[in-house]
Amino acid sequence: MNEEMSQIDLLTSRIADGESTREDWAAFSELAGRNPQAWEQLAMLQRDKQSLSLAVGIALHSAENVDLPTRDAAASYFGRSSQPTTIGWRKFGAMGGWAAAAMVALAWIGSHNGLMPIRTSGPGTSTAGLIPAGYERVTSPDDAYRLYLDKGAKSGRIVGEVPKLWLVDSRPEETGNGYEVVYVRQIVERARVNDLVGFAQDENGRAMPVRMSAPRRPGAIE
Amino acid sequence: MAEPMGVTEAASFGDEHRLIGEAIRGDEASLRELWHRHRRWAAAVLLAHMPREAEVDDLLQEVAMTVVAKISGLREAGAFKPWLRAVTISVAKTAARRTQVRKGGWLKLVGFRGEGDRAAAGAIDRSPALNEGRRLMELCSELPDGYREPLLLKCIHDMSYKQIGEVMGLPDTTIETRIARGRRMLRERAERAGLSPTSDDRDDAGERDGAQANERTDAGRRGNQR
Repeated sequence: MNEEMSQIDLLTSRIADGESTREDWAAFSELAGRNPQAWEQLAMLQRDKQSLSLAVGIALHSAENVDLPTRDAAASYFGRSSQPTTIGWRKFGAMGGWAAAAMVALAWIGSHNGLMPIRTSGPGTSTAGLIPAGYERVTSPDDAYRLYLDKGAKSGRIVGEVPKLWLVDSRPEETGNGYEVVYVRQIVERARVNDLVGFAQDENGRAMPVRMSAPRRPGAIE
Repeated sequence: MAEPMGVTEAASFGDEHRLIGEAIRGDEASLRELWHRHRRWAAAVLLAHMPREAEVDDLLQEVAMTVVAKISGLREAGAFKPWLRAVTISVAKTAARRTQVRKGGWLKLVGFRGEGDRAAAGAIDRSPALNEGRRLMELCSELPDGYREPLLLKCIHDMSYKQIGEVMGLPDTTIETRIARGRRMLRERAERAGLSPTSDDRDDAGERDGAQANERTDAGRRGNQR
């Protein structure tokens, strides 16, 4: 009986995966004649496979956007120079030539230590063009970003902006003029929540949520 | 009659080996093409081995970094898939060790009062099939590695037992057996966790799947009669 169940497991699985042959179907029909629950098992298995494939598909969807980094970025990530190639590998730490220039540009963008206060626009703020009262002119990402900072600061959601930018990648422009830099900009936000939950481990080593008291300092939980 | 399929497979195999060889020698376009072909299953391997708190994209970027930095050290083109899997598992295991260290310092905000959060959560919860699939994915994490990985890889469209076997370095018959056993273990866990269709759903699904199965059986019988 157990052997028959194993055979049904194998056949239903093969059928659900679309890898069955005519002989498999014949064998399954014969077994299902003696074990009517085999049909229900097949239906359940197909349903499980469909649901699981949907969830896995969504979980992996964003993987389609993960591209290979440049060799420079990969070398920088591992903190070493690799063997020279036609393109040439260079550590960001060495900071020669264009890499150093890119850092100068970044230094211009963020030049303070600690959080930069957000300047909120007051009554005297001039707005170019004729904008109806209550509306804001947003014609570029910079406008939208400024608006986000203003509104966030006014509502109390935004605490500040970390002035130091984290360089992810940089490369000379193909035209030979300037550099393209990819960086992370960090905004510190504040939110009101109902509970704080930390993670502890159960006896099997799995993470499980545990309600926590408020931490005294960043990153620490009592 | 089997020859055309064999020729196609051989051509595909040869094309893949050529790409790997060129990538090892430093050709960026070949490496990029290889990555596009294989990143999806690498992501599924991550899903099978990474800690629950990790993000697939973050870890896949680490895999991508390693591939670019270390592909030149690969000696044989035939070893590419097992090598990529080994790199992927190593990144996932490292993330698991990092998670152990960081767990004490993690905070998760519960009941965030932002409008966007509520809207997003509502949109996610609307699909019963997706919710069921996500619970099955959670239960998958309780399965032994050897069963979980092929089961998740099989969820990737078009990946056959044979292709999964190539990635895992196992015969396709072993893969098939593990997938079948993994599914039984998963269903048993799902039933213990109360994850089964409602009676209405079960009736509908039963009728629908039964009808489809009957159609297939009829088709099979017709095929046998021919």
